[in-house]
Amino acid sequence: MIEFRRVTKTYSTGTTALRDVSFTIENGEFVFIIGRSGAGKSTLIKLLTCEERPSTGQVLIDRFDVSKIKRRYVPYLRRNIGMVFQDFRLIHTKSVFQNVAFAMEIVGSSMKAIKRRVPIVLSIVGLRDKALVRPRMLSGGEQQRVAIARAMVNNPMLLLADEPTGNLDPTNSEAIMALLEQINRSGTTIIICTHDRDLVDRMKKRVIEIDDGNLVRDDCQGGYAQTNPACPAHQSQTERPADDLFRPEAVS
Amino acid sequence: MRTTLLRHSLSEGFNNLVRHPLVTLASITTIALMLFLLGAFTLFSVNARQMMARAGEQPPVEITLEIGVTAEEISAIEADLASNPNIREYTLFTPEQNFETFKANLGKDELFADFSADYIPHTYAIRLHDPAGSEDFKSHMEGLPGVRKVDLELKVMEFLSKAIVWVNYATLTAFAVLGVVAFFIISNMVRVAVFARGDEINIMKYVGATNWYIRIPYILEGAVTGLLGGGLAWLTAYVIYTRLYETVAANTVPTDVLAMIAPSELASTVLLLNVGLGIGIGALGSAVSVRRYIKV
Repeated sequence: MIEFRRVTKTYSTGTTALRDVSFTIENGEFVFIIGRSGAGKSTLIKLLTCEERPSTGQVLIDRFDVSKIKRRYVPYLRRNIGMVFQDFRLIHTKSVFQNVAFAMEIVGSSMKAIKRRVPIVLSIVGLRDKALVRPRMLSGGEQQRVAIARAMVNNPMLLLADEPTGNLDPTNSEAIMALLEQINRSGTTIIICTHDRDLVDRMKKRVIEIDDGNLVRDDCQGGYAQTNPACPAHQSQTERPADDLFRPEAVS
Repeated sequence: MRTTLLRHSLSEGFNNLVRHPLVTLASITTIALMLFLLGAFTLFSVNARQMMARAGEQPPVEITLEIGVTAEEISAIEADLASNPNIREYTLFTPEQNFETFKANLGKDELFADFSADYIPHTYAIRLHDPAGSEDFKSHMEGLPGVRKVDLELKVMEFLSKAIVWVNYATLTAFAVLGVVAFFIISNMVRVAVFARGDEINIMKYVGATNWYIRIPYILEGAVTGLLGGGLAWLTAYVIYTRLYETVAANTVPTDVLAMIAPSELASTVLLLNVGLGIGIGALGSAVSVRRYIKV
């Protein structure tokens, strides 16, 4: 479960990106974070990956307060979070297989495990036959599928996607969303930041809207603009120190 | 984990080296230049110390007595020498002994068939505990009756002693200056590599790479650059020293005060010094700059 407790983030420049934001996301949920550019969506993701720390408030993942996690444990937290970006962020000097295998190498998987797992993941995203191709030879949709394969190869508990369909045509966007939905059905929590109105309206998932740093809407099965009944408030639980969970021996 | 990290570090480290060949070459050359100078100063210093040690084995003080000195005067001089605590040992050479040595050195006995040893003085060969007191000793001895002159053979030692001090200063200065230059060049080499791979490093961070996973290939790259630079410096110093040794050895015997130490005796020491320092400087320069440029 992910919980934001009265989180405010003010950057050193004086810009306040989030103001007193509180919400809870249960395990296995599929959530859209929407809002205009500069509304605070990316800051929200950065707080989850510990790229930024909240100025006040707490960010909890499975009751562990990650806003206080020691810097050296951040990599171990990130191994539990898959990330997908608008610009794919693939390594163009490596093949599709190597791009996905790379994420497993970093967490210390054996070559045997890599050779067994990567083809399976590539099959799931429909790119098994392109394992040896360099990313530049692929279409935008295919590149994003490689990025999703890389994000899911380590079985993360949470998958964060920042505008995953921003560079894709409607057909490819649809395919990517179907893939993310499929991953979600296997139990992975999915959080997607997006501007794509049609997609949000069609998917009928939970929508959290941020405007000028404030949480202005939290709808279950909402649309981009429509307002549906708000999600029931989740019960807050006592937090545990995050370093206990994300220290190397706990993650292995 | 360790196998994966090792494989990744080795392959990335070596890939980084060939990715920017000119920058790598500049780094290797700078380290090689620095370590070559250090090696040259070391070789000079080691040889100078050996020459000093050999010079110290020669009697550094020689006292020449007046011709026709009396037995009483010799006894008085000997008593003075025996009571001087700064004297390690002394030996009296009679006119006959000195004459024989003189003839032996000249190698033409027939020239001196009619020459009498009466025209040759008595001499003392003296070794002091502390060469620093030699000037005082000279003044004292020249005031005694029967002493004609006192020769101090310390000039070479003084020169070598001063030369070693200056060589040590020059070595330290050159090492500091070139070390800073090498450090900045290696730092720049790593910065270029880090910037070129900025996206990849970001991706590594997002998928959970630890600091060491990202940094080790760069540190390895610096260490290999240092190793190559150190090896090149050693090879250059070895070739030049061997040529110099062969030239000098042609004119000296191995036991001569000015004889150089054989290259084979110094090769491993200088190799260890060059390669060890090269690896150290390369790895340290990379570690510091990669820490600075990669905010993990």
